[in-house]
Amino acid sequence: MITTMNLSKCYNEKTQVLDDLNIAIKKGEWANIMGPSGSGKTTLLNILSCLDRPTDGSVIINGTEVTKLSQDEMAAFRRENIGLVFQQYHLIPYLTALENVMLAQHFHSMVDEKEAKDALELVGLGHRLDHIPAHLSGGEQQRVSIARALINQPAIILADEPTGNLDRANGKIILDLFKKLHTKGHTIVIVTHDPEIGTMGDRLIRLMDGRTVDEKITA
Amino acid sequence: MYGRILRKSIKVRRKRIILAVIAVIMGASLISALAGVYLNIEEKVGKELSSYGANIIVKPKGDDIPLEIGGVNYSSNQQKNFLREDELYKIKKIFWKYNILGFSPYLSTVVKVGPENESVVLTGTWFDKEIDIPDEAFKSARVGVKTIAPWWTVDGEWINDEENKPEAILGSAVAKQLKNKVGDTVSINYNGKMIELKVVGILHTGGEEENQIFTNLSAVQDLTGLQEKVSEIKVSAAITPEDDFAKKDITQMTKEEYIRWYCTPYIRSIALQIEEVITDSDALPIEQIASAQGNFIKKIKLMMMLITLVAVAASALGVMTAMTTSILERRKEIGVIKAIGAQTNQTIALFMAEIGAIGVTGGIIGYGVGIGLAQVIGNAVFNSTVAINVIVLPVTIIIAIGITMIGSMIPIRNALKIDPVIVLRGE
Repeated sequence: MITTMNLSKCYNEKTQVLDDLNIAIKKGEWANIMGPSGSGKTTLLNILSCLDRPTDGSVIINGTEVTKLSQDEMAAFRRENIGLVFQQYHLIPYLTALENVMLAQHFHSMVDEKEAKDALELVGLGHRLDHIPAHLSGGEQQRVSIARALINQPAIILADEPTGNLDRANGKIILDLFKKLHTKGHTIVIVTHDPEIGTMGDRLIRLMDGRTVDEKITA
Repeated sequence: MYGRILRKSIKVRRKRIILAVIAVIMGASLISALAGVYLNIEEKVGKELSSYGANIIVKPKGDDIPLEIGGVNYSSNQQKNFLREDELYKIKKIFWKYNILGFSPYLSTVVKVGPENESVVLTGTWFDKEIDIPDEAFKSARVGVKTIAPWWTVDGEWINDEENKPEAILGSAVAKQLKNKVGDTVSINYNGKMIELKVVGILHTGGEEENQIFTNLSAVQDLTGLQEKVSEIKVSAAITPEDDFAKKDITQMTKEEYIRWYCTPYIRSIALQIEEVITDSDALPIEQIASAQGNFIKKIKLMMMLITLVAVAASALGVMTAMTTSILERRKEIGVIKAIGAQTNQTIALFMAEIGAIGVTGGIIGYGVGIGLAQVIGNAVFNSTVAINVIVLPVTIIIAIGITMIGSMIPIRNALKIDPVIVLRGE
């Protein structure tokens, strides 16, 4: 499903963030990526999300070499295949929960209010449709972010520290949602510092200085 | 969805949007005001420039070149052809009737006056007369020398056209020569026929008219036996500056070119229209005055265009400042919509909707403000109101949207360069 080949990313001559990285994630697999700060986790996730480009090497997702796509093609590929969940939620502050989800529909194809409501029902926010992000708790905002990521039925969910800003109870709700998505067949990649998440899913990839230092099956 | 985003985005950033709209209103109101004045400028400036005097002189066809020495027209008595007084009103019925600012008929003859039988030109004319114009909305028009020569001044009184009394206004040079003053009576001898006119005023013009005696047109017609006749008409018309097309030979024009020429207020097309309504006449443009008027209008129009350009540039700068700040505030939002899959054209469309809303709102309000501003300019500069022209509204809105687009070009380009990776990690 996702394959990186000799992936490198340098920001300048001195800062090599990813160094000849080769990983492969199968369809329907839940892979967690862990590592200390500066190990290249988020950079890897940005490249897999088609938000950033590597300096060298290639990324093949669903048979498409995404590193060869133009900026607009990458955007189109992203909205068709990838759902993104951020640590900071990144919701549009003046739009309601429902509208934030519908916005992703709008850029994908057609707005369907019922589908957007269903997605929010799925994450347990059917009663919070008309609330703006400022009136939602962190956990609720993250659930809206997950509903937005799911609305266009992407095959892949990429999440950067999805529970990083949440308390234990809300973190559990989010992780339960990921479990549900995993059982439905979504391919999930989560970047995390949380050792508890590291034990979940199918596989844990440890990064250090832009290289894979350890890979183990957790399932 | 764009509608929802637009409405809510404007609501939360209303201060920035109001600033942008104000910048557009400033430019649009000036454009609307200047466009309103521009469309009226020929009439307004034409009226102002009527102080230059008549710019068309209408003579009977085939009339000889007048023999004038020291302002005395010695050919007047030999004139064979005349124009008809009963056709004068038709000058206010031509295609460019509203551009006719005034006219005055003249009938001149050489008479003997005073104890030494001095030869002096006696001119009959209208001074300030209201004539009926049939089948026109304006129904009547004020004509006479006062409408074409407002700089004439009279010590004493003007002759009243309606009263038809035996009165005269003496040119100041004639009054000095004859030692006459207001209240005196002057004896006029025309081929042995005697009339007496009471001097009601002394005329100062700074020109050859100071060597003449003026009285009612009908008095000279009665004296000379030329009832209902006039020897020439002077017309003051508001004109558009002559360009190369205006000077083209009309016999060489295509039908379309001729229609365009005829329907433009060039001095020659107005003169031709006068010839068409006054039987057996030659309407001759007075080139010096026409060209001075034309050049003056051309310069005023150029100045107005330059002011408009500066207003557009200043307004666009204002919009650019407001939009740049707005986009800086929305960096994260732009990063998010790019991250969730918005392509370049979708991102641009989001801003275009906002630009359109700012432009249309600013344009409509600016048009309204501009109408008021045009009236202020009209009253302050021309001492009259400026007619409202509906064509200015769509023009103002289109220019207002243009201003907003120009002002937003650089901020939008910067928005498109926003890297979601950088803004989403909070930098």
